[in-house]
Amino acid sequence: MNDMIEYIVKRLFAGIFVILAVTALLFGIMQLMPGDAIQLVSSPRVPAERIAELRAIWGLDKPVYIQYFYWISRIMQGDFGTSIVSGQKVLTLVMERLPYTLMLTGGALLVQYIVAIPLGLIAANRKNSFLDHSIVAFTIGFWSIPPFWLGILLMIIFGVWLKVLPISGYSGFKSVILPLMTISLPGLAGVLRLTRSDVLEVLREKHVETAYAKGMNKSSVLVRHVLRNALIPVSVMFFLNLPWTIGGSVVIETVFAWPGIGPLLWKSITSQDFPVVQGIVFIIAILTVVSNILGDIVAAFLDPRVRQELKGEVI
Amino acid sequence: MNKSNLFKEFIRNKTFMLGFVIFLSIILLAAFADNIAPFSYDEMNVQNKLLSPNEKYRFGTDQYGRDILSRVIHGSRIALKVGLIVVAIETVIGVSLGLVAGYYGGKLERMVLFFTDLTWSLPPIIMALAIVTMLGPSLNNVIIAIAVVSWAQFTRVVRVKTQAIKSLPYIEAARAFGENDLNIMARYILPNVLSSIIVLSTLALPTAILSTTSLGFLGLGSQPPDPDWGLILKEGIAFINQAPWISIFPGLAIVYTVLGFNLLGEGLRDIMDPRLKA
Repeated sequence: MNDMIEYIVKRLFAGIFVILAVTALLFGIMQLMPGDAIQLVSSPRVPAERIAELRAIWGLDKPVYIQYFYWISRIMQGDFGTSIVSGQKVLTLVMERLPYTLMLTGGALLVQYIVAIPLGLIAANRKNSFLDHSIVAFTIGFWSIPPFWLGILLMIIFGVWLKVLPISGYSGFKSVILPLMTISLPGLAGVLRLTRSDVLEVLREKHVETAYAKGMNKSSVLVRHVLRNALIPVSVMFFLNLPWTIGGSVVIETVFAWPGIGPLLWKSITSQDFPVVQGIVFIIAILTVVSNILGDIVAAFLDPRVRQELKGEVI
Repeated sequence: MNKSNLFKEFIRNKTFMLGFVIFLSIILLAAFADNIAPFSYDEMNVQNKLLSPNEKYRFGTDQYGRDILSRVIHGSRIALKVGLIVVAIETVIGVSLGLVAGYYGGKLERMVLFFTDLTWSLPPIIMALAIVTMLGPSLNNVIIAIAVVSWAQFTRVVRVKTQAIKSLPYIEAARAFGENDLNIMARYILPNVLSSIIVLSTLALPTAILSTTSLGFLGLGSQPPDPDWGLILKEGIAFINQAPWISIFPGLAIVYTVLGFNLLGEGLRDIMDPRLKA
């Protein structure tokens, strides 16, 4: 258990370091842009002395690394700055929309796992059957469909032709169905393929043969010996997929005009609203690093071999 | 494996052959777009706007009366061009970092690993969006953004292979003969990782095309009136009720292309480097 705590602490420190590096990189990128925040908001008629004064107040006359330090310490206090376009606090803007995004991505991941794990088990168990081949073909097919176009296609089928579901905005439960399907289907293919190959791998192991030799019946071997081991990578994948799913949902939310952070990010990019872009990217970076750490911890918790392998080695 | 056996294996691999046929058809479509397409991609004809698919306009027309079929055909050029450039940049960055990290090891390797980890610490689409925000929306900037966020997989594979190769006796021999490091990397190590690089590049192509069409769909890539498939889909979504065909055909073109390259890549991998299947 001490191993475990040491490992978690090391992982957390590495995570903080990665967050600092990512944000420094982002901050550096934003610094490369022509002009600064003062020039963006002030008109050319503002006298130069006043601009210099404002620069001093905002700390923009200091070297870049000092500015980065200021920025980080403001973020620590929950101050992500103010939107150039709407004048609202960035944190307020994001927090209004984040629950909708999390609802969509959380729901999509849940649907993926509930559908994909049994299907993957079936496909592996009947390897090379017609069912197995069609499941594999289905996964390659879904990798080739741009997710945003899948959304458009579902809109046309269920919204335009069948007229049974709303195609944009948020107006209760019915609005959730199409975006949720669009986000979960491509990832579902991935989880399915992973479950299938993991189960196949475990099926080849000695302890499964032993279980059969002891006279256990097939279904209890499958559940107690195979699935339990095969699910380790699959559950780690859950955490690694979470940020990817949020990233993908940015585009899909825009397709469906979903009130999440996706359309906000898109609007802020097209209107050059840098503080909002910076804030959203920062929050997604934190979510990513945290879920990666959670994934590693879960892996180490479920599988002692991983703990042994990673002992002492971080990053 | 001698050459004629390898050739036979290519022919026998159904995944590869299907992918190869699709790949050829797209190359031909892009090369002869001017001859194949019935109209030019930006010819407007307002009387014929939003026509459903018919004899003259097989895929229908858009809000300016432009022929969707011709736009989709010309779009194959943009998709191919972008895909190839992105993959070329990715390959050069990724492979050289991987070679250097694997060959020299030590601090240099740790630094390269840190950068690869960094590009993985954000979802690629978010990182690409941040870069496009900085550079401004245009097709060239999208190419840069996508290449910058997706080289890391090349580095990972090449680094591991280089490490394994550099301790082999023939590298020792080359060093004893006084070959310099650059020569050893380029002439003795690179040829041995080439098959992995070919497979990885082929598999990176569909991903690159998917990412550019996503950014094009958001209006951050090609600008009107370019027949970028993603951009056509963006323009079509406003007319999804009256003219759903605008939103269907460019999507089918993307799926056809990406599926073709995926099959080609999977086939190549099974033949040339089955161990890459992770």
